[in-house]
Amino acid sequence: MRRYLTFLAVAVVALLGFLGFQGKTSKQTPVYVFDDMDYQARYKAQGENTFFADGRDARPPVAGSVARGTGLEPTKVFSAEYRRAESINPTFVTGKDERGNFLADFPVKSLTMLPSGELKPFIIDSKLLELGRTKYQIYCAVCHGQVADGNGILKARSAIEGDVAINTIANLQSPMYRTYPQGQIFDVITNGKNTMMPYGDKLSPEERWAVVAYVRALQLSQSCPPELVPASVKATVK
Amino acid sequence: MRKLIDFLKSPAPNGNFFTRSVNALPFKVLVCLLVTGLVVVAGINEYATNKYLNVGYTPDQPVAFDHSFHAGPDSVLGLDCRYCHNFVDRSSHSNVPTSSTCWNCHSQVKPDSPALALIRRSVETGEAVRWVKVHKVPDYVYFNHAVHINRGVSCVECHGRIDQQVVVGQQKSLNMSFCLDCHRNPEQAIRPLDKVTDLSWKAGSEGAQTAQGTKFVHDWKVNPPQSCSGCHR
Repeated sequence: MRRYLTFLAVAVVALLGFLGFQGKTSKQTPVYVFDDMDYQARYKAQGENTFFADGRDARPPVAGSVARGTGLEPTKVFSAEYRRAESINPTFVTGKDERGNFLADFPVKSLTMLPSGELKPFIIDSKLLELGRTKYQIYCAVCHGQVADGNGILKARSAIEGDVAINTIANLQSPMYRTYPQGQIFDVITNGKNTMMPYGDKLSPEERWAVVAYVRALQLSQSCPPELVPASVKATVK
Repeated sequence: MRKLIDFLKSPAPNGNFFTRSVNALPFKVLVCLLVTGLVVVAGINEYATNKYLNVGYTPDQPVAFDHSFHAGPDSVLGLDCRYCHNFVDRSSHSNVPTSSTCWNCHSQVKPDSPALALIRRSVETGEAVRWVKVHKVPDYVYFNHAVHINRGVSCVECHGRIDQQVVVGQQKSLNMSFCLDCHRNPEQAIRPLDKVTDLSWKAGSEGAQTAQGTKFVHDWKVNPPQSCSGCHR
């Protein structure tokens, strides 16, 4: 018995030395004890695939294909009279009118289809501005700064690193950007401009218009005429 | 005790084949089996769970991206999680960012750095960067990022303080009981929607978390599924 228990103790110590405890870091791919259905032969989001030349599971759409809907409602999407909201209201996704000029004002109609087949009017309200603020602070403030004066963290970093971004980040408070039509700001967000890369892949059209509205709010905030300031706020200003 | 051992060791009377010590054999076998059983149970408890098998998995990535520098309130840049993982709030899959996302800034900042060689090549040729997936659940688990993010469940609940990690590693077990702990008591994990990507945020106290969590669960009609088909299909 003593011999057996000694053997067991040695075995336990050896095992502990070899396996360690919970929480130790490792570069080894985790072991699955029962991996019955853990790995299934299927395409995964951003997965790897040796079958295709580019090694990706995700297949890019064939050149020239036109999106017809999400495919969640196939009977509706594939019916003969189906039209995408984008094709009824293209100005909402391009920021340009029929003649290709930038919209001077916000689009009148949104992309939301009412049951009657009409498009819902596009309304600028506090909810939209809140959406604009959230998206602006995530995607835009990095370069353009919290108040759109072009003093984001990227400018500070490029000053430290000695990179060129310090010269190229736009100050959206400058007169040039104040006179931009709404559609042009929308277009810059969608397609980028100079050193700014496009953000159309990150923000939906509605979110882009919300950001345009929030940028306008920021511009107003930095040059607010005194008569627009509410009396309650005026009392707190020294 | 001494007397007992001496007695057991003394020779047996004539005609008895076994010594008296054999009488203790069942007891000894029982003790050995018990100790062995304890060791096996302790071993399984320590090693045969995700807490050992998965937690701590910290693979080398093709590009040494440092979350603690880029993202989160304590970092140098303070980027929001969603700047890069931009589909997390509208897709079941939280995307690894495209190389062009890196290039939004790095086309201007340190574009020629050797550390960014793979990203540069990817932007120029469209070749994929082979990032190594860290947080895995089995393929029969259908976790949806968007529904959690949009109902105030923060990244930190499953990923830990990823914004403090230089190299990303798995910090939580992500096994089924880990999911169910939350699904049974959602009020402990739900926070205001604007704090979802603020991984350092904590409610003032445990009581405050329960109080506001219970309110959110009621107001947002949060009803986390506990049935099999909630997550498995």
